[in-house]
Amino acid sequence: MSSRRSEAARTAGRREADRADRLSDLETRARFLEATLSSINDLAYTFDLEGRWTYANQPLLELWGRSLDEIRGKTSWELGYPHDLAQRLKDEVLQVVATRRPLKGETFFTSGAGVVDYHEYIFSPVFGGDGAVVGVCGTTRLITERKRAEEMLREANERLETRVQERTQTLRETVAELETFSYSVSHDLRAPLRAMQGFAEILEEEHGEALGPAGRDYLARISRSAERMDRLVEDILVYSRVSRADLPLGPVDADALLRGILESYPQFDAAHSDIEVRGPLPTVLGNEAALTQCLSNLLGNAIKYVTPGRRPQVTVWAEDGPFGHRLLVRDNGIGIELANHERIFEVFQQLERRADGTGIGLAIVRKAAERMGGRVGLESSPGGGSTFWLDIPRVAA
Amino acid sequence: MTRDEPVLLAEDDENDVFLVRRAFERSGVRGRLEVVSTGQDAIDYVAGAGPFADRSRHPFPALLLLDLKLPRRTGLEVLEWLRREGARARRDARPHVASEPLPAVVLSSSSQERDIFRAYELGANAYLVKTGRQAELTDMLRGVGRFWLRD
Repeated sequence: MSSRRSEAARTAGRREADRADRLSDLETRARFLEATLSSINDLAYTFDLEGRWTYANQPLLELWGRSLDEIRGKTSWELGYPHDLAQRLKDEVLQVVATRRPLKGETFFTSGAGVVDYHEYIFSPVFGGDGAVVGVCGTTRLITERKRAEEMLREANERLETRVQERTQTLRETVAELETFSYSVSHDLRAPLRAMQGFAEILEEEHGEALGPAGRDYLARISRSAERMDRLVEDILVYSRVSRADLPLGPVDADALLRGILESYPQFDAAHSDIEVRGPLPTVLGNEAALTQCLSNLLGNAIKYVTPGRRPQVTVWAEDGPFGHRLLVRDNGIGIELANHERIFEVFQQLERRADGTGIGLAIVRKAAERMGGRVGLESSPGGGSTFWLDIPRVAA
Repeated sequence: MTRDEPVLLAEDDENDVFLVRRAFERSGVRGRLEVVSTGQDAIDYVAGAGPFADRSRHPFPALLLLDLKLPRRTGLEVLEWLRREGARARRDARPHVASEPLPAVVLSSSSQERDIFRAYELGANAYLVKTGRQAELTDMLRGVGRFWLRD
């Protein structure tokens, strides 16, 4: 073999090898691309400009049960798509070709077994070197799971909403029943008490002489009991009103409020007690009716529980509280043991049985304070008087 | 004010009727007390209808004392009716007298704000809470007489 010939042969061989390399390079890349497209869970495919299928990745081919050669160049009709869906696919391919823009869509597909699958797809134009659209590629993602999750979430929300409505309805009915109950209490429960009181008085007036001292004493007991029961009824009504009524909050001038109470309630006049207001008290954030209830009950409490024969002396003032204002009411009363400081704010808790107390007054104070976002408490020791305090928010600056 | 005009008490509780009547007599308010025991009877009386058609026996009242919890139409319903029909009923009964509305004073067991507001909303002229104390009840009726009947 001459060296020249072998030289030429070597050159030809290199060219051959180069071309083979380039070919295998292209083929390798095509294989990479195919492997990549077929390894994803989504469906990937391409159409020509008329909407005929030109490529489908492995998952799609498996779905169809066909090979790539079997589907290439076929229309959707030829692949057995339902007419509506086939028409839509074609229309959308033509639309992407015409607009040169991607298109997104969602569709559902009922399989032979009646299972509905939801798909989300994107069609995009493929541009040739000259910028003209040469085909359309697409990917489709199965979103049945997501759809189902969304559906479940929606149903759960609906069920929750239904339950909230049912509960609200039940609560509304309960409130309505309570209203009916308190209406009946305020109208019906008091009538017999009034009759007891009225007829006991009349009996005393018209036949008192004949009854003698013991008889008159019994009558007085009937009267006092009826009166006490009437106060109980009234306090229960106030307590239930304070517990459930709307108490809109706004600025309340505690100073004017307190002076109004002192002027209008006969039990607080100077003939019975000394009540000193170290004012002026601040304007607080509260509810006028609820605060009136709090202050009048605290004052009533302060003058009620004193050693017999001692003149009640009460001082009212304001300080800075741990949050907002603190209104304080100090008395010279019998005082309260530490062990009872919590108990006295509970309904029907009286430390000392008295005809003029109901055991609800301080419970009303606590409930009203809480409904205004406030708190009550006291400092006291037996024999040393008591100082009740009411913490109540400031008016926002 | 001619004193053949009675005070009409609408009250279904017999005890209350007895106690109010007794207090009324002691209050010194002139005139007599006519009593009806249902809301419907109160309306019929004022309208001069049904058993109350004879105005010589059941003259148009000068004042209505009204309980709220009444059978066959509540006190509130009576107030509602009065606001709608009261002026006409009075014109029909006393065509020659200048028509002032019939004053209605509520006399109720309830001191609940809701009842009080509702009663005033429906045109009640005053709202009194019933008391078992006889002296207080007598004073109350005396005050009503002074203000509404100018006694």
